[in-house]
Amino acid sequence: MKSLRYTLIGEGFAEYEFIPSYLNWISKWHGIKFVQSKIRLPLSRPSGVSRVIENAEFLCEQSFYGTSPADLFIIGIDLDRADATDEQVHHKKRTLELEKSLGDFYSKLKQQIILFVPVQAIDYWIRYQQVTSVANSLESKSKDEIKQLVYGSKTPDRKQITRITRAIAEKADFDELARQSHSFKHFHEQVISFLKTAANP
Amino acid sequence: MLQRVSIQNFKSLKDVTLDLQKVNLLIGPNNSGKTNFLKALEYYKQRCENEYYSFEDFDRVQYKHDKQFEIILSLTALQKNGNHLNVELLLTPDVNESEAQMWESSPKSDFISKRERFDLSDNTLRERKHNRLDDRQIQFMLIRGFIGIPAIHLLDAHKLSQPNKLDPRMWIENDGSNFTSFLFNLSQNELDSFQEIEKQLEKYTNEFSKILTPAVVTSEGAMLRLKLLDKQGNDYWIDEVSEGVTLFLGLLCIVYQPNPPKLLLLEEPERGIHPRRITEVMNFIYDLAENNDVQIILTTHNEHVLNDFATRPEAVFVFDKNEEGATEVRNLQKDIIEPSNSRSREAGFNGIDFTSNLGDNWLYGILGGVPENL
Repeated sequence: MKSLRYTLIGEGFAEYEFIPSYLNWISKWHGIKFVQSKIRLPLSRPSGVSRVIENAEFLCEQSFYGTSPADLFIIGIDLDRADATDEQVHHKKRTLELEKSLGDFYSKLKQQIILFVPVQAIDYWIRYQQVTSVANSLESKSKDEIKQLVYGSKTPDRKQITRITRAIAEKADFDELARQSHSFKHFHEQVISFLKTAANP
Repeated sequence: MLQRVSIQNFKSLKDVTLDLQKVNLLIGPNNSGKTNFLKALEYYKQRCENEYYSFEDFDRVQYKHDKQFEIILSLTALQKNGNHLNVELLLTPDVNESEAQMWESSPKSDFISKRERFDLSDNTLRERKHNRLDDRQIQFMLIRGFIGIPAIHLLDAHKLSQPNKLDPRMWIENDGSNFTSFLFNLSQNELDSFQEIEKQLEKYTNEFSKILTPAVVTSEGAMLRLKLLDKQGNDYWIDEVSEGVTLFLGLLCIVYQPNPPKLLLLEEPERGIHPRRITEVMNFIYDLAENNDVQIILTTHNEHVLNDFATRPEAVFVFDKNEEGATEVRNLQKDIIEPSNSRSREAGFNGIDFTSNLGDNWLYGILGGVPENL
């Protein structure tokens, strides 16, 4: 089975549970195995948008040309707001911000870089898999409300976030999630596009 | 100074080579083999001294506890004449088949001397007759003294602070547990060394200038207890001063003990030290190496200690375990920075700045030497 090495850079604890579970799920359909590199922002505390943006270019370069070069670089930041526009204007603007933070690496290595920008935050993706909801309906709720619903607290600690995210992500229907969330679909389509090339070079 | 150490089949060290500097730093996750590297150097000395050598003992230190592996410890030192002196211990479960080899070589030419072989089970090599050593014994003395008396020091401020009974030993235990009695002995028998320690203590702490070891009554009877006097003459029991001062004093004692080590192995010397004082500890360690002609190998789990090596990445060694469970060691400059920069430049980018934020880069996992999935 072909192994693909990836680096994941995200803002918080939920990303480091949710995205690997998703990759594990999708890899089964493509006969490959994803292996996570050791490069990451330290998890002793959530990273926040600015820390991801500040380190994006450097970590991307390290990921592709450092000691154990990766095949794929996945990086994401929260939109931190709703986006009710038909064209997803705010989502596009934020995604562009992330692209720019990667400097020349994004233009030269676009096929191997995947960006994720959850509308509001990744907790909304998790909530869609917790309860049946109308597509793109949750993002209008406040972050505090969604955190309370997902984790049982507006200020969940690392243990709560990790435990609940892992439990939901392991059983998630990601095809369904792509129908429920625009921002997840944007991420999912990039992964599929990458796999079409990488799994069958 | 030891320039190169190669180890094969010792504990997790299946095949590693380190090109050493004057002060060296080993980093890596727990159980990656850093301490095994230090233990291999201790083991070298034990085997040369022919200390307790049994099949069972050998089995415990062999790679994967597999009897088929021969342990090879190869050391290369730079001599004053510019040539290399090389020593290789070939160790098998049967001490009668174990031997040491020694030869000289030139780093600048093809010169290689004939290998001298010594049977490690030949105790006549170590026996002194009529107060004279024959030529073979003198040569073997070179092998035995090749790295001085290395010992792994894991100084524990709590143990250093404990009162001691009178004890005639004139050397420091690895954990510093005989610290007070050692200082008492030194003050009685090696006054020059004792006063040098006081002088250095004052220089580095800028506060304490005298060391006393008065007898006190404890529940275990009469004991010696360590006390420091500051420059104004105020006295403090050792457990009333900071752990940093205690550890400074412990390091001074190691270096100024009679027959000090030529090679000092220190595990996590930053333990108990405030992050802002780590630079002081490192300056102190560099000074020890420079002024006392001691070569030092440190291990650490602290990013601030690593930051102190930003200008000397060639002295940093990153330990990891491979899939087989064997230790792999990469030199930060030669095996990490140079190849990564080369790959980056070949792809049309500018190269990677590893060192301006070395400690963070380690935590980001960029250097390796980090635990899995954390």
